[in-house]
Amino acid sequence: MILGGVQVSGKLIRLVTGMVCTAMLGGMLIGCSDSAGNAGESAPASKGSGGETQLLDGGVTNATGYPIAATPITLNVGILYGAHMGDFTKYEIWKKIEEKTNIKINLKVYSDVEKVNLMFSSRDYPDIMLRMDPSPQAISDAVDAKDIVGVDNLLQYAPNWSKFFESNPDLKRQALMPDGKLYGFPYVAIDEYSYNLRDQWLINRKWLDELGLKIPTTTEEFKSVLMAFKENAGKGSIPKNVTPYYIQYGNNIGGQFDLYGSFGVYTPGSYFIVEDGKFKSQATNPDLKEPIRYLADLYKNGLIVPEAFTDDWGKYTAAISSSPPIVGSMTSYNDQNENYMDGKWWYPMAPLQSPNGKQPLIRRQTRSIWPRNFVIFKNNKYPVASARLADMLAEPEWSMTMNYGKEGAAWTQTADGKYQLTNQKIDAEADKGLGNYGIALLDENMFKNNIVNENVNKEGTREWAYDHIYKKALPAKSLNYPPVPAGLLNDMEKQRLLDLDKAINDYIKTTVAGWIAGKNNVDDDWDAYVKKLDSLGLDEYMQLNQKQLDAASQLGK
Amino acid sequence: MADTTRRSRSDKVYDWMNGIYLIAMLIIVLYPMYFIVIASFSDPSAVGTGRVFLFPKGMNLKGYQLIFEYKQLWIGYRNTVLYTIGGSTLSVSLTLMTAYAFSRRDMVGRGFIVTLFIIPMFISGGLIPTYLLVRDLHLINNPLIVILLGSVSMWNIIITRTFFQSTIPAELFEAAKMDGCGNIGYFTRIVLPLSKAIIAVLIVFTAVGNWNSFFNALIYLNDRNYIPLQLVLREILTSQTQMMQQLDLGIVDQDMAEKTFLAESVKYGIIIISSLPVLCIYPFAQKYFVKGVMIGSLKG
Amino acid sequence: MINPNPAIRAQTPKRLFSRKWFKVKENIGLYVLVLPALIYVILFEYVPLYGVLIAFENFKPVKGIWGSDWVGLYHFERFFELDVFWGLIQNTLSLGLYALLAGFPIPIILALALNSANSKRLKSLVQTITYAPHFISTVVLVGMLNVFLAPRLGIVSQLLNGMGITSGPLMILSDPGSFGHLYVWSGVWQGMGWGSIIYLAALSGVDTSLHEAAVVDGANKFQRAWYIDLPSILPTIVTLLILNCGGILGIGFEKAFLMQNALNLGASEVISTYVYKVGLLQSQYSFSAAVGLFNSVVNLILLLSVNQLAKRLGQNGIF
Repeated sequence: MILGGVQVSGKLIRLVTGMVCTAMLGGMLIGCSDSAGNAGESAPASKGSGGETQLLDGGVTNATGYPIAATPITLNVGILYGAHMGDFTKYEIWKKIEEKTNIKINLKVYSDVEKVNLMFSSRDYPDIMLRMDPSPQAISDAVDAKDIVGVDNLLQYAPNWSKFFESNPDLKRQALMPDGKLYGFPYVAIDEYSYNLRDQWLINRKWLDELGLKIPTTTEEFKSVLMAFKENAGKGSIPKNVTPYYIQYGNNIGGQFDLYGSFGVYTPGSYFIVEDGKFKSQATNPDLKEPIRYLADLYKNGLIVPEAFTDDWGKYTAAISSSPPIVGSMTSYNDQNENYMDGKWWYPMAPLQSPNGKQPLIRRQTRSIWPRNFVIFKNNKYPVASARLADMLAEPEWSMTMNYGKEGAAWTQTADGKYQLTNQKIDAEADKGLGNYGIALLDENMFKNNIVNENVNKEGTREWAYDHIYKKALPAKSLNYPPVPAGLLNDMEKQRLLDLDKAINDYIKTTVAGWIAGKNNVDDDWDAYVKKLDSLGLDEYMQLNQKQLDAASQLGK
Repeated sequence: MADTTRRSRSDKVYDWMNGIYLIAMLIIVLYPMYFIVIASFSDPSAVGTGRVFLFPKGMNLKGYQLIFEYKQLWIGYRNTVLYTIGGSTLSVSLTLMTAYAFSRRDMVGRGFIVTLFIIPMFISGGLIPTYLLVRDLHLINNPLIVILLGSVSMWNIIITRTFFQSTIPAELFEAAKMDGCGNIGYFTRIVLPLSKAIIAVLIVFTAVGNWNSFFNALIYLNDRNYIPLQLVLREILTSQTQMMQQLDLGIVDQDMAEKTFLAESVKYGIIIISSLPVLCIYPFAQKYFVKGVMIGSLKG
Repeated sequence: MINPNPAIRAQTPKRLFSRKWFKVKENIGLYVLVLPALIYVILFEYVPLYGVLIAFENFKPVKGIWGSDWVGLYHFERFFELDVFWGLIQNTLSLGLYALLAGFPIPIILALALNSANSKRLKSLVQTITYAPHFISTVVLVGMLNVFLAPRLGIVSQLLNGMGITSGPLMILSDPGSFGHLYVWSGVWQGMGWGSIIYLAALSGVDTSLHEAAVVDGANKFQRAWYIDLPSILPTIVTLLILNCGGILGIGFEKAFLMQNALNLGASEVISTYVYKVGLLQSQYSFSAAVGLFNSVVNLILLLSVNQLAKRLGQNGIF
């Protein structure tokens, strides 16, 4: 074995030496050609300028009609791996696109965000990227470097998108980069049921029924219900190890923020809100003390369990989807196991009325689009064909297929030309839809008039709960931080904002956790806490955020 | 007489203490390992809520079923075996050769060359220039890069050099030189046969390192037919961090929670499936950790 | 070294050189052995080394590493002036030191114990089993910690409560004071078997005739382990100690990150987790590179000092 190893290494020496020599040579050659390439870039790229001829993109692309490409072309398309999305390359949609357009999609799946960021930092781009989640900084650098093709000039080939941007100036503004231009086609799925409510607040109705209790409507009632769950642990279907009220502390999903809302303190998953364009802090709002006192009281009585502070996402999922349930009440985006089927377990509950008499609030999400889910890079030789592809995918049927999946499996066409959702889980990878990993144009009008979702009438579903319970508990106007592009602040300001953001939010998170867990007392410590936030640079943090907001509101004007 | 009994009594105490210590270590390690086995057969929410102690709860083979049905996993297995064999062979050879040279005090310029090797342990150019270099060498998406990168580990070289210095006496070379043995001949015919123990260690270290590595494959390989086992596992498990990032974007998909649940149900089974083969190489390596391998050569 | 006498000075270097050259020629085989690794090091370590420049500039991909704006020590200053800077250093250093103090001797003790075990079967069983945890990925290791130490339902909490040692939930996962112990001892648990491999190999090189002679002299087993085995593997121990000291500041990111929660953040935020959150996720290449370089320099200083110390104490340094 040893001798074998040495013999191999003898050969390896030659191999490695040879390789290294060629490699060094290659490196030098490429060093030269690289700079030559850079020189070439500075000349303005002339794309789609051959207006006289019928075919664009250097004689390949039809300006209208199908197929899009007169002769078959291939586009390299990058997409981020999604753990729950399966193998994108097995989806049928790519084949359908090729049949219709003559464009072969060569899909490259990036398995990690790190790889995506490296793609940007080394400028090794595909022709098109779908959802990739690069950091905002990476996108803004690439736009500054003119590595991304602006789509304003391509909108003439994309009538669907052109119309969408014209009729939705507010959503268009979300998509603008600091230079006021568009750099990609968006994913649009403006479904009120989805975006206008963050988490539902669920309560274990089976346990309530067993104990002869009603769904609580006030914070006092909620506490006594939780007490009843705890005192009756081990009886009926309440397990011995019951978790009366499950929160995953500090988390946007399943966290404690909706309880703040019950006391009228709106916090959208962080402690900062935007009201009429003004950046405001809820972290220093004295009204916050009351819900924290309440949570500390629940914790002291064992109604919130210590796991709230230590559970990771995996344990959270295990806890809330346990069958039979071990949790009395929790917040969750989705309807959970065994919910509306028999009406016995989980039931949506309105935010609770607190003693302070303020209007209880539930959290919403921002009405927004994913502005750059279809980005064309400058090395793409067929920008017009790419734009036309993006436009085709904005057609209702293509958008339905892109977003939900194959016709017949995910949705069906009704006799009057509407699209009915099956609301069924799709197992076959070929039939799946890309959801927010691709692009689609499903605007409010589409959801209101053309998509039929029967969950709306099914008691206990998210859609039903939204209409009947939560709609009236939403804040009158959005208080969430609106989507803003990177690059509105200069580099120094951006870095400062990052540092402040981390320091301030970590401090708030840790301090509030200590209060709830009874390590400290909110009333004793409040002043010191506010002072400490000041010394951490809260003012500067607010100013920088305000500056960014102001710049964003000027975009496109 | 009295001398022997006293000695054997204190040896007995030592043996007892030693045995107890080793058994304690065994138990401390064994239970969590046993837990992994039973957890892999249990209902993941029973595991997550602390109901699995001594026996599997809610007997569940779905995890294993999912693992075995996953074709990419077997492609990954094949690739990992190839990368491990290739990478370890290369790395062990390079390490032994270099370490031997560094162990020789009479090598002119040794200090300079060693320093040249040590500096990169601390200062490196980082990912971006390395990526650009690999791209310029046209080794992107070439499995060779996974074998090549990381094949020189200064850490291993230093350890091996120490081993050579402390176990192979310098006089041995003088003797061999008298017999007309050159440096390379001495290295292959005398040093290597005397160093079975360190070679065994290096094989274990590099094989396990190669087996567990995924980062270079993640960065430099694109073709799904090339990706190694650990990358496949990473995709199934998706590190919690990535999942959280996707969640923080604010929109949750129907499948997301389900996927987490699935990841929970396979995570213990995956450890077993993926580490069994490398667990098995260690007992083979152990054979070479036998006392007195040096004796014959020194006396002869 | 330089000879002050000019008459001799003219001659000596030349003679010195030719003597050296003779030695090089004589040992040419050694250079052949080093060459492949040297080529690798130059190609894959030194060629990309220009990347350290990123730490001193405002790196923009379009301008490249050579063309980005030079900002000097700005990113270092930014790091040093952070409110959390001293906290990060303190957390990282104390964790690194603790991990070294606890994690370094235990594999040695394990190896010595294994080496002098009477039962061959027990020996190979313990060896194989203690080596297995090395293959548990960090995600799963932390997951197991969370399951075992869960406040109410974890096995440890139930055992302690059942035996009446504690009452009420076990708060070890969220207690900042316990974070270090958890981090270090779970690491020891995972790494002791793996770490002992190298010592076991070194112990196999111990001359058995020394043991035979000691037995004749009436040394008991403990004395033999202490006076023969331990000194024999001392060079290996010193080498590893020096190498490990060069990694004190290099507390890995993944495990600390996964073990963090809102209550222990004060103790669990280390340099690498901070850089991950603020630097890497936000494409702050220059900031990340600057902190990385700072880490390297501190580590290098530590390594050099320990190396020097070892040499003073009469041991071989690593260079």
